[in-house]
Amino acid sequence: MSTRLRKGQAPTKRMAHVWDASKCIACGACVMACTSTNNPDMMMREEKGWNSIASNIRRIDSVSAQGRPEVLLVQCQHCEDAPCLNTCPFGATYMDDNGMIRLDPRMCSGCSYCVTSCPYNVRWFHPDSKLPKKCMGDTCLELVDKGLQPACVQSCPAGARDYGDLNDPNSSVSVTLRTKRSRRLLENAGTEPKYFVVEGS
Amino acid sequence: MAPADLHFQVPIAHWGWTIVWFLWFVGIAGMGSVGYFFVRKAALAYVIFGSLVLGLAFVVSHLGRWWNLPRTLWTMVTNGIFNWSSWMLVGIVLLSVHLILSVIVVASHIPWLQRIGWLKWTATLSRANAYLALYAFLGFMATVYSGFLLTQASGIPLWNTSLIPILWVVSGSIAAIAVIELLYVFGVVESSVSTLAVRLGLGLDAIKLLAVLAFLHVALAYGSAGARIGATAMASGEYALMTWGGVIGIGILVPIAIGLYTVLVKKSKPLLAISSIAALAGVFFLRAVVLLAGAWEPLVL
Amino acid sequence: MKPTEQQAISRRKFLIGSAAVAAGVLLADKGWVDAQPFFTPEGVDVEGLERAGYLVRHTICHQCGAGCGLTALVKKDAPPSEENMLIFGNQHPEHPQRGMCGRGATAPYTWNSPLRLRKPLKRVGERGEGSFEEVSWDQALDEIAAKVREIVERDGAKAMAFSTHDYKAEMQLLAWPLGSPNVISQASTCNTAGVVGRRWMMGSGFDHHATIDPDYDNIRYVLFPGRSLNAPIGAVHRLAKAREHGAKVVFLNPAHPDVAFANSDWIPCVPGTDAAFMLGVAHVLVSEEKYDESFVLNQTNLPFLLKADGKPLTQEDLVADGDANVFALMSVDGEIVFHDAAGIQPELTYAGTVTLADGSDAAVTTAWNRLVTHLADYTPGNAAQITGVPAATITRVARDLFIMRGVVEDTWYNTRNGNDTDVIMGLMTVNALLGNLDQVGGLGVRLGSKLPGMIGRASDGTVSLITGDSFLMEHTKTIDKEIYPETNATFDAVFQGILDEQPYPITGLMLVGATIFHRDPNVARAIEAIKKLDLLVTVDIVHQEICDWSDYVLPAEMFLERDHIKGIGWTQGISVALQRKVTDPPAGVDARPDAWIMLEILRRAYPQRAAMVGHYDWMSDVATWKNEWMHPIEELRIEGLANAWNRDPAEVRRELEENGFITFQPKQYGLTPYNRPFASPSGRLEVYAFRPVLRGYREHGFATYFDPPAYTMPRAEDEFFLVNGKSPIGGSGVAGLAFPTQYLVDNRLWLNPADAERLGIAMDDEVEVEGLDTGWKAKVNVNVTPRVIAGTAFVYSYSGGHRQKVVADDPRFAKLSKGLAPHWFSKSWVDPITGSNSNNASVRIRRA
Ligand SMILES: Nc1nc2c(c(=O)[nH]1)N[C@H]1C(S)=C(S)[C@@H](COP(=O)(O)OP(=O)(O)OC[C@H]3O[C@@H](n4cnc5c(=O)[nH]c(N)nc54)[C@H](O)[C@@H]3O)O[C@H]1N2
Ligand SMILES: Nc1nc2c(c(=O)[nH]1)N[C@H]1C(S)=C(S)[C@@H](COP(=O)(O)OP(=O)(O)OC[C@H]3O[C@@H](n4cnc5c(=O)[nH]c(N)nc54)[C@H](O)[C@@H]3O)O[C@H]1N2
Ligand code: SF4
Ligand code: SF4
Ligand code: SF4
Ligand code: SF4
Ligand code: SF4
Ligand SMILES: [Mo]
Repeated sequence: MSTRLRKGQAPTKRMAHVWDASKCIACGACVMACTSTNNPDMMMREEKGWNSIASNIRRIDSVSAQGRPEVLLVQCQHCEDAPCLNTCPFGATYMDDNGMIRLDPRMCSGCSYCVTSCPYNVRWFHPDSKLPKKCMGDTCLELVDKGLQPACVQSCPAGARDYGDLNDPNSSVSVTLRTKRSRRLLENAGTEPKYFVVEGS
Repeated sequence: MAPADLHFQVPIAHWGWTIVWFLWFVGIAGMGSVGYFFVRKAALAYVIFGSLVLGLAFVVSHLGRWWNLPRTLWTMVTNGIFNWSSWMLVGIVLLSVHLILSVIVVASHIPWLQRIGWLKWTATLSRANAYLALYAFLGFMATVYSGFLLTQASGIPLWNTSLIPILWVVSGSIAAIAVIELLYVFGVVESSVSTLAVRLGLGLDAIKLLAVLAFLHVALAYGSAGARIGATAMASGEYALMTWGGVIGIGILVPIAIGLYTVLVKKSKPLLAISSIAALAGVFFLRAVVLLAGAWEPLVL
Repeated sequence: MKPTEQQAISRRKFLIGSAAVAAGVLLADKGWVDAQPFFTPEGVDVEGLERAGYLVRHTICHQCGAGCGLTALVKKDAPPSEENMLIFGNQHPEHPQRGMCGRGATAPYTWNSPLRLRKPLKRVGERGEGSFEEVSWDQALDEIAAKVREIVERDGAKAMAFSTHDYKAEMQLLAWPLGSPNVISQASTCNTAGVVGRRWMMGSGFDHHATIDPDYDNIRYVLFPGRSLNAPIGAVHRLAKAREHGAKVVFLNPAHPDVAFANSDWIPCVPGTDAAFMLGVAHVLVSEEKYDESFVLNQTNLPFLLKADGKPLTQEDLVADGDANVFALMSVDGEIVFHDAAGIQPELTYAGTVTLADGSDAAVTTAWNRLVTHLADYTPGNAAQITGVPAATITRVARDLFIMRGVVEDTWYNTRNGNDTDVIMGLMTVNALLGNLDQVGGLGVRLGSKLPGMIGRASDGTVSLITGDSFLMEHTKTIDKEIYPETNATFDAVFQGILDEQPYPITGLMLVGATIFHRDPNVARAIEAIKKLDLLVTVDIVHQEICDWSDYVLPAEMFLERDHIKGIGWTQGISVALQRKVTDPPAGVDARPDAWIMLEILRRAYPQRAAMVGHYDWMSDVATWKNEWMHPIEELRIEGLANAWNRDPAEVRRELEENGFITFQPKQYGLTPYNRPFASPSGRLEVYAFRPVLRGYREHGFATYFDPPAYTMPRAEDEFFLVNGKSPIGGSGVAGLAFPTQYLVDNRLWLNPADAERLGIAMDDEVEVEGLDTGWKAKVNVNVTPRVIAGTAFVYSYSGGHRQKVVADDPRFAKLSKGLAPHWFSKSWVDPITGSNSNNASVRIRRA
């Protein structure tokens, strides 16, 4: 089990998600897998705010500056300087020693400050618990604790997803980021996100 | 073409009308406390206290997990976790302390309480300028806080401007003045105070008008896409009526007109009543539009 | 890999660490914590799981027709629920169709959908109204049987028609003993154009859409004309790996398929012009001499001699008592040789005269020469005019295909515009020139699995079951084949039978897993036909739209609830998979097996005829029937399969249960047509298709472009082609009605920004769409997107326009009732020879 970091402590691992836009076929398997794994009770209910399935992954269809159709998947970026962590009045949002931004439900009163503080709009309220849900979901945390990959990584039929430690130069994510062109979202927001979008060649 | 990823905050984050009420009451109570330093009337103390209680009631009722608050606080204290980088925590502390100070001020005005010997200190304390200065300062800070609350919500670019605390203080002052005018209408406050307040109000209205226009202009001209979306919703979109009619028409132009009439022609209690209510409504609308128009930065590759 | 090695992997650890295989494991819910210790990065301890109270069941996904391999974990001794079952892609590294898509992931949510049919329903209101009463199985089956009897006795057995997508054998159990040949699948709205095109060029046995497929593992360049490749996900997975090794993937499509987001090229084209594109590519290949000469000479019929009338020169023409099925070529030595001779060296460009058996002279020329002339009309410039694809792109595709030794995929769903058979012929022409068949990274040709079916019919009309039961059926020609000689199934003929009573009246219709309103063009006409029916019975798992129009609606078992064996398609090797029952139906769902339903209707109508297929009174109990009827049949099928591959049946069953599949033969390259001829008249890949020419269907045997006959061509500023296809996530009759998919599938109408601007339409605006041919009007919101070519509108099929009452009444399904069903606008044009139908349409679009 991973532990909560106090102010000023640095995580031992810096676990990061990598999504390879050049491989993603927009099949939605990860979106579905995320919900059925982490919030199975939401498979028959909608996320009213997003008018979508209650998944920790949001699909955005857009068009590049060159007019090329593009798809973007977003989820919690596990920011190294996370605004949601800075604003949470009760310390419910915290970083663990894997560098993941997590939620302690005992301390959350549902004020939603983390939601308005997240530049990526990746938190949604569970209609019953009123917890501001996001990646990593509870079951995914259990999976990674057991050394398995999270549901979205496992479910991707195109091999477009990966999750691993940036501090380990030999991890598959480190290798990918060294060898392929990638970028982060809202780079200038100063959040130091740990969600990497690998770009097409 | 509309941006592919367009989301306003209310359906997702639910910072809606309850938060508008909260911000409004905090503005009245906060800047009211500053006003109290000058106009030490019981009625004003009651208004401040009432506003604080209502504001806090609104904010607590807004908490999705209000029932978890005791456990939250307990866990915080037992684990020694205090996130002082959160403006909300700072605000909670400010408002709590302010509430206590306010209780003391209120107590000092209640004659039957003052007959209870051991409570006399409240009156003594409430007559001390230092105490009232602290009281005013905390009120001012609470108002500032309620602005920084939004400023720090970095997901909503429309809010990420220090114009908001300024707007909040200016409009909070206008609200406090409106309350004082109303007290004059009800005969609680002297005419001379009211006249002064009207003049002060005129100035503040002008500043507020400039600040609102600047807020829109900065967002539209220099803001990121998300800020522009919000400002557009305010200026020409869904909330245009509330902005131009509510914030500016009712909230600024009506009080300016009545203020000018009062200063240049004559003072009329019914008109001042209208002006005050209009000003208070405008302050409310201002918080509403700014909140409701908050949208995320659209994410695109 | 030797079988023993394979078993060593599979016995304990069939699930391999996911990062290595990157395919779906979905671990759901907290209840699965107990199961998790058995999942380690090294693999999964199956035996441990079973000891800990979990059943491991392999099955075949049926959320769409692709049949990917799934694995389920079920909690023993727990009530069936979504929470008590866990479904993920079969992780066996050798599984030929590995992985699971988002639709597959919705299977448990289809299984327990609020729209799941629970009890037999009997219509009480008007057709279409959606008012039903629940009745007992006995009542429903007895009443249906009585009605069937009435129809058979009054109008003849042929008056009963049957339709399905995947349950043909089950329906034949009822139809054939009744004496009706009319079990007619969905094919003419799916694959008929392709099946006929392939049959014309390669012959029966090579015509199925899952037979000829790119060798995805090794592919270098693949062009997908009008295939979105949402399925099978196993193929997608393999293609993803090939892409990592630099494979180039190109989509030719009026709309941008989702799969194309992954570093692919998308070539937007005008709908219905694929044949011109292919012929343009062929033109470049021929004129730049970028073709495989050896393949062209030895494996295609391009060196064959043609007479002036376009017919092939045969032995019969040349020698007395010659064989009309033996074709003539000119050898390089200047001698006539026959195609069945060994070691012929044909001349590709011969033209001249030959003396026929009757002494007359005839001008002959090689098919190649004719091709060169034929292609003269399809310069890249001309093709560009038709397709809207720049000439340079057409030339580039041709060159890349040649240089990278690529292939053109032969499509799956292709019944769109009325000129689709020529698209298949055109793309196979390109493949023939490239000569990249059955090679590493080429187009592979898969052989059959030898898995016996449960019921079959010989050409003399003898119907036999695998059990040995048999009987003679008098009338064997289906109604569609009476109208469309080359079709593999044209359901439109049934509408003609109902409405025009031609060639004979159809008065009763039974549907098992067929959506009609979302499947068949022209909904207005379908409604008209349905209203005229004496009996309409729908057997389905969910309450889809046709249910509201049915007299009886019967709840069927879903794939998660049954055992079945199937061959695996879209793969290179020969594999068979087992569909194992994962769970019982959810509480309150009284579903029955499709086959049992058919047999019970038969028994209640004609007990003696049921006996002909081994079904008796005492089998009316489903559990008994499964043991006594179904199980022995599945055992016999396994036995037949095992015998065909010289394997022990018990071992075959054990391996199927353990791994979910068996590969009997890995991919062998270089077999077809090199060592094993095609089944075409010439045994070769017939770029010049003999069959339609010899049968008088066509003047010449080449692919040709002509304007789509299936709809009025859009001409005015506000007129558009309306094309559609599946969404990767929602939108099939099956998965489309699972609750979560509606949120991931876009059910707006796509319009190109240029068109939207011209018509003054903005994002999400509501527009009115009117069918140019059907006049049907509907309102829909617009997605203004460059994902569709200008002049064309696109919508995902099955993802909107669901009008059944239960959906309208349930706010949770609000999205399904929005959007359009493309078939409101398509008019149902059918090719008179192939019987291929057309799902595209043309519409007028206005701001609402
Ligand atoms: N406009 C347009 N039309 C099209 C297409 C298109 O892309 N666009 N696609 C065409 C193609 S390719 C095809 S194959 C057809 C498909 O059209 P259909 O054959 O009608 O569609 P299916 O998706 O197979 O689903 C048929 C029904 O089977 C039910 N079902 C699922 N499992 C079972 C079962 O075990 N038992 C029974 N009894 N029922 C079951 C489902 O609930 C569903 O209602 O549509 C064709 N029509
Ligand atoms: N989600 C989902 N997946 C399915 C199914 C399902 O029901 N739902 N069903 C399965 C079945 S039965 C089948 S047959 C397969 C079919 O799978 P595919 O053969 O891949 O076909 P579709 O996915 O229907 O995509 C058809 C594509 O053709 C394009 N198109 C339309 N008109 C034209 C044209 O004139 N020219 C060209 N070049 N392109 C055109 C459409 O834009 C669309 O992208 O899918 C299988 N997978
Ligand atoms: S992405 Fe949002 S929720 Fe996640 S850490 Fe960053 S700010 Fe917090
Ligand atoms: S909703 Fe919960 S986690 Fe989010 S800021 Fe408030 S207390 Fe913290
Ligand atoms: S890691 Fe888990 S919670 Fe996060 S997006 Fe992936 S599936 Fe969802
Ligand atoms: S599962 Fe993979 S391919 Fe499918 S949408 Fe997610 S990242 Fe893309
Ligand atoms: S492609 Fe998806 S829905 Fe179709 S069979 Fe495969 S997993 Fe199932
Ligand atoms: Mo199909």
